[in-house]
Amino acid sequence: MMPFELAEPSSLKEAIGLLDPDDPTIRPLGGGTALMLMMKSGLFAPSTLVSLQKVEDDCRGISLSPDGGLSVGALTPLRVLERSGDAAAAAPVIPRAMRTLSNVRVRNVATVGGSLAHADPHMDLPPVLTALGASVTVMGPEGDREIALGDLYEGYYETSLASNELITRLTVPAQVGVRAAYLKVTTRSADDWPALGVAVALTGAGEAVDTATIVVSAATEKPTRLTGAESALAGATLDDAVLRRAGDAAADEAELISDPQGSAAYKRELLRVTVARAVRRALDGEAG
Amino acid sequence: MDFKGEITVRAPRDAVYEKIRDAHFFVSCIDGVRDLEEIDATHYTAVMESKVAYIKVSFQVSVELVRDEAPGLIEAKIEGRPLKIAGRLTATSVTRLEEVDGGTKIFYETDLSLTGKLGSLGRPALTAKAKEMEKQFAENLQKAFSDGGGDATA
Repeated sequence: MMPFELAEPSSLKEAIGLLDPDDPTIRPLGGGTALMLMMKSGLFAPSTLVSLQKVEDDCRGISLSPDGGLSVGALTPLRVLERSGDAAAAAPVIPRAMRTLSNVRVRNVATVGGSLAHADPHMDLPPVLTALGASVTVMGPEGDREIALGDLYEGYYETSLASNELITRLTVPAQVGVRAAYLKVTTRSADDWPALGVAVALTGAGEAVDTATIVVSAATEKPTRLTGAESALAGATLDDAVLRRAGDAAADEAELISDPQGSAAYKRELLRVTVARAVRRALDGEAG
Repeated sequence: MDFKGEITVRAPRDAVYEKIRDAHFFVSCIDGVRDLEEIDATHYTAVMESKVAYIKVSFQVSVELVRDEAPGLIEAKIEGRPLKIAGRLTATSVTRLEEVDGGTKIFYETDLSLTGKLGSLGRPALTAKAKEMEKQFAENLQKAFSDGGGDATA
């Protein structure tokens, strides 16, 4: 590993001041679990890492708003979110999805903000949070701004964040009447990077679907909404034919990539069946 | 991974072949390739830089022209080693030219593989980038022939 400078600012403002929008070799460091792997493989050689571990601003912890929305500080470890009663109350699909997110050692260290900013399409949280309509608060030299998760990801490792902006907070709106599920398919161990992730959030009663949000990840360059599959479900009463149409629409519209977890052709068939299974799981009583 | 596509240009096949056979022209259509050196009539070296977000990987590549059947086919074998990382890039690129009414249809196909320590982190990212480069290549090729007086359509 190449030598690098380590900065440990005590505030977000100081951290942002240390980042340089024109120098991609200066990177913020949350828990460091993803970045260290990239550095060990030689893929990324930073000149400076700006650690956020000693930042004293209010960006740790989880709270529930009176209307049922969830607010999560960006420096909150994933494990804290996974075990949070507030998260389970607001959107139980989040802790459910996190139980197979990497392994507990990683979840103890990795932070919510870091895992969202890393933008590896194999991450589990981005598709789930996109389906739930979540957004992040971002701080930069010019102040704060909000970015919907659906607008955060632009490609493989690429986000709409400037190099000197930091995610400070995650907000998940109240999931009134929403039933949600996340299914991932791994081709090796259960906690491996997924070959495919599908997040589904539905409104409606019983087998009737009013609206559907379906997000595919891992098999795509970024978490991507499957609007054709959503249309196939919206306003429908679910039966096998509707589910098959939704799966076929998803397989037709998704632009899939090959990687060590599987070929694009393999993932297309996975997607075809997994969309239907995720919808069925969401409808089978898994609220939020 | 296999990348393929086709474009049609309003220029005679002989002229299109001559232009594509010119390594300097061909390389000018590929983003991120620099320092092209002609070793002999069929061997070249160059440096190819690929940037994905904040990650930049440079490859020292060598190109060998393995089939050159004027004016219809050019096949090249490409091998590259990333600078600073253990790994290897291999690719075979086939370009076929067919006469069509009023011009030439260019079919291109590249079979690319990346191995070594680039590993599961780098390989898919660079492969995704290669797909983007392929699209850009087609656009550059179209533009080059349009600028040269011809018209091109995908």
